[in-house]
Amino acid sequence: MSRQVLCWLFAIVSFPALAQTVISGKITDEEGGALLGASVVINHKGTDHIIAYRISDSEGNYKISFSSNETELDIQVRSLGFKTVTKTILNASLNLDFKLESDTTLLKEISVKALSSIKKEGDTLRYQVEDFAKTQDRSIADALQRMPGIEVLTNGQVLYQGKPINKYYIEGLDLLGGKYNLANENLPHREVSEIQVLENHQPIQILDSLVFSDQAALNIKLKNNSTFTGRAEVGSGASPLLWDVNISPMLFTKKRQALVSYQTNNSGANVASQVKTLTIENLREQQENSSEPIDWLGISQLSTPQFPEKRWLENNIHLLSGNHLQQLKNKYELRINTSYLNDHQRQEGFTSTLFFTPTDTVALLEEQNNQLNFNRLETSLTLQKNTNETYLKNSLKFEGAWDSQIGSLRADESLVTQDLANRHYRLFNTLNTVFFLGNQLLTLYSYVGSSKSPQALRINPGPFEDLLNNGIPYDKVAQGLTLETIHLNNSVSFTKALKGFSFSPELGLRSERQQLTTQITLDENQTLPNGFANDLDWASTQLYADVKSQFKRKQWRIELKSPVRFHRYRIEDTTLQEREAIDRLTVEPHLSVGFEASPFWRLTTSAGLRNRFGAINQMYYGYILRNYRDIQRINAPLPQLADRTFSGGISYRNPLKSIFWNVIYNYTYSENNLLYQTQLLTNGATELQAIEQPNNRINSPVNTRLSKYFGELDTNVTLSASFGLQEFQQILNDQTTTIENQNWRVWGKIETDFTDWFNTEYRADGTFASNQIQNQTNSTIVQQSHSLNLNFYPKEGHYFALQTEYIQNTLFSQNTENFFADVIYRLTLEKKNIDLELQWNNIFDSRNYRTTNINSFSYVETHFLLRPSQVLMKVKVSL
Amino acid sequence: MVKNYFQVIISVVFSFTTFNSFGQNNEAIGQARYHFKYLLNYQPDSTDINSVTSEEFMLQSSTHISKFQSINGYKRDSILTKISFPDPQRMGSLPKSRFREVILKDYKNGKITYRERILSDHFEYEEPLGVFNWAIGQEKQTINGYPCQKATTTYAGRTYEAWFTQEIPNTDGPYKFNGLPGLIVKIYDTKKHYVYELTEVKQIPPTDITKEKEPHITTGKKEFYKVKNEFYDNPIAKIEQMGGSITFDDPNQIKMMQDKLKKRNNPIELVIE
Repeated sequence: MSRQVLCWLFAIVSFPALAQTVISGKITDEEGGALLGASVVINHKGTDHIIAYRISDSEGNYKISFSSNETELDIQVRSLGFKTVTKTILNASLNLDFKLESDTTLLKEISVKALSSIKKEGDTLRYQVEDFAKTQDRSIADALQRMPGIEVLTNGQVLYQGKPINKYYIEGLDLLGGKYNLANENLPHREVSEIQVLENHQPIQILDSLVFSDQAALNIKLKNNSTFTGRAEVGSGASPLLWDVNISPMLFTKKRQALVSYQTNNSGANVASQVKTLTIENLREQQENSSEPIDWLGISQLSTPQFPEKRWLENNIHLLSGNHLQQLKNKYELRINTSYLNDHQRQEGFTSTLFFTPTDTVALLEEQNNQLNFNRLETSLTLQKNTNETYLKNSLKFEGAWDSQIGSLRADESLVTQDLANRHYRLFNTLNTVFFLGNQLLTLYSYVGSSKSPQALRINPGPFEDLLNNGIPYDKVAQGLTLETIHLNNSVSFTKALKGFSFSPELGLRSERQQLTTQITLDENQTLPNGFANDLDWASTQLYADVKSQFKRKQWRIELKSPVRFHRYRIEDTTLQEREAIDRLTVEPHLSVGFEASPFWRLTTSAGLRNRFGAINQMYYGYILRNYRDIQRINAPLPQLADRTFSGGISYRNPLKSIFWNVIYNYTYSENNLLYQTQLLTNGATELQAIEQPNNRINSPVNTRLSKYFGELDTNVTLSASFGLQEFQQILNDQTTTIENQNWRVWGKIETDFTDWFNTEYRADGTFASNQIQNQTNSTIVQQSHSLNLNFYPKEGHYFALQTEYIQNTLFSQNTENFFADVIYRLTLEKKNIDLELQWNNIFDSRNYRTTNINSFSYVETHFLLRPSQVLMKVKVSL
Repeated sequence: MVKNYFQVIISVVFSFTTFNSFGQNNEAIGQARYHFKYLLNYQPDSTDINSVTSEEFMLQSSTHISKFQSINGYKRDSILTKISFPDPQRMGSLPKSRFREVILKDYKNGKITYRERILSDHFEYEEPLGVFNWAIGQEKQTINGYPCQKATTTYAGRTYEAWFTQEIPNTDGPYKFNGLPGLIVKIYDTKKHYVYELTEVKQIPPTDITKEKEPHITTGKKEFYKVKNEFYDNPIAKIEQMGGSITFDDPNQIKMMQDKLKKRNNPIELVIE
């Protein structure tokens, strides 16, 4: 309608003095069907000068109004797929219908290729670096930023056509995996001749033609045969004397690449996390192959505060990591990654513990001073072949830990020294391969591993004299323990998708054999008899078939998992003449359903059965002295748990009003065949035993969260609350007790951007914990914290922040308060690629932190000595 | 350690999109016999001429309906339609585009339907087809092999010069532009912040033009741009709103991310009416 008016206006404005001509009619095809979208143009006669035009409507009608002083005009009708009709008419209003003849003439095809400093060959684009780099550019990342189609985010991530690259190769080799930023920011662009973008890059070549990839990879071609570069960061401060150093040189050649990194600090930064890689493959290994070492024995430790490590970690860490990649014949690649870590940590503080029993309350005060030494070596050798016919990746890895811990503990005027030697060695091999079986692509996974953990704990003076030494005090006790494990896990899987359905079956066999030997020696030479030693042989095998099926239709999404597992356990301690054999078949269906009621409302629910079996540290027949006041034997059958789970959730999101709300409820009912019995001794020592008695545990947390964004105020407000209820039974000093724990948490946050250069964030957090033993309610513990951060960006390259935090804990005796404040100032000299940073942490020198932990039968109040006020100055440069 | 915040966001957003973007339900709304490909050169930061970048778009056109979408968006949709249950890890490898919008022009009912996803929410608003007041000029030139004629219009705060060809008698064009007696071969605003150019005309076997069946949040144009601007002003707040959470080791990273988004200060529609 409005267009009609506008065209009309246009005609009027162009030819104000002239009389109006109106031509209208209908346009049809040869069969008389109305033609929509045909253009009807009035031209000056014999030319292509347009006087007026209209597009036919859905009934094929058109109506052109115009003014012209010419006597004759041309009218032209065009429609895609029809022959163009041109007629000469008199300049007078009239009705004119057109019947168009179809036309098989095709449009002239064109295909324009733009861009020239860039060459394209197949799926590879080549950028000549010299054409793009500017004088102020230093690293290859700077030059990349200028190449059309490539974008480098502030965190170093490289995007091609708006999406992240999937591989970053240097001379075709992938040394760094996902950590390519290290090379990207430090490799000078003058060392690089060409950047290649490999479009649609499928990193696993055998999948290349089968599994479509729309991601690109980047390949850096070097000018020279070898390039040496790197980055350094040096920081120093007080008090005491602090350092923070990071030096990372690297070498790239066509066939060999290396990167070395040395990092050391005593400023509370736990750089150990840097050598941890958490890819999906590694997670799977951890879950299924019990790769995490078990800490059987320990010295008495302080529970660490729940706020950032930089406030409390007293460390002295050295981390050296080396990565080397070499190309071999026949397209094999060999990669060696090694890291060595040495850390010396100190902990100081004291704990005050109250044990509640149905008959009594036992109080215990312990002053602790601990020295923890960690020595870790990890090395892996990876051989990979990645061609169109084969994908094979084999990793052989060794992990070694030589940790020692010394604890001196003062309780009731007596000094207890504890000395722990904790070693762990593990050698394992993982093979992953993808191959064809007929037309179906199969994935084969194989894990073979062996580990040994010798551990020893010495305590002076000897505890548990009633149990261990007929009530006679004695000088020393030594607990020795060795666990040896052999583990295999092999599986084969594939995925088949039909319309709306998908099935992913997996078949596998997992087998584990463990040997536990322990003994307790008193006063250097007196080895205790059988009941205080273990010689346990543990074998478990699982044969599993898992089918996961998914179904999706309209607003529904349904997923059903139904793994069938056959479990076989053979557990035997020949010396103690104890044994157990279990053969069991489990079916563990799990159904989850999602329903999208509207764009705003969404409902999800799930229900399932699950079986869990105990591990070797949950059953052994002889006593093990785990720490100076905990001696345990679990002379009971294998723990078997049957869980019934249910969950339900509702969420509401209204993006137009900027409101989000959700609530999630979970319910788990577990049936356990064992009940644990804790014997409390008068000196505060505990003894844990398990007896066979069916019992259950109910766990039902509920969470809700509400948030609203106020656009006018640039403010976001979030409120959240959770409530958790746990109910279970425990035997405490020969009585069966029902324990009920309740936890409340209320949490809120307000963020406001006042201006471009100033923003704030405020958080408040409160938790309330209480428990009930045999209907007797114990006092509630309240912990609250408030933090306020102010961030300023006064000028380009400058950053200043003030961070404050207030913590208050209501303990059972009194309240405690802590107030922390830190300031950070950073100056970025972009042209020189230098960062200067000044940090002043814990300005008010808040040193003592007190916290409480509540567990099923005790309150533990921990006093932890924090790091003092410290100032640190850092400089970051390129090598 | 520098956290890869962009990935954090992507994963957070992803966790919300999983539910409704797998196995997209599409319905055919027409059939295209030609693919028209456009290259857009645009300047996302109006203050920085070096920020010019480009993106390819596709116009699928039938007589009564047409669909305009970025090539990456089109590929993403075609993949999602084919795979009912993609591996979540592989979702990250699907094509992404800065231009998430899908513009449907319905010639039968005379309306433009604009659809865009912000985080996990699918929005749509409608606008009449005839919002363009074209003034046809006499200038002519041949662009990419097609003889073209000049026309001018103003829209949403910019003045545009368009070059259309009567050799392709299709009243369509890139973005929302339409209503000329021939296909638009090239169109740009007078500041040349947005330059669309036809780079490919290709005959194809009849291919369905599809439309997502997913329920969309229907809203007014003004309200839509309010939501969109709020996202650009404060993406973290908006993501947390959606129930995601992002933690930063360093608040400076938030600033860097906001600065990055602020460099996208030059939308094609400057004035929303």
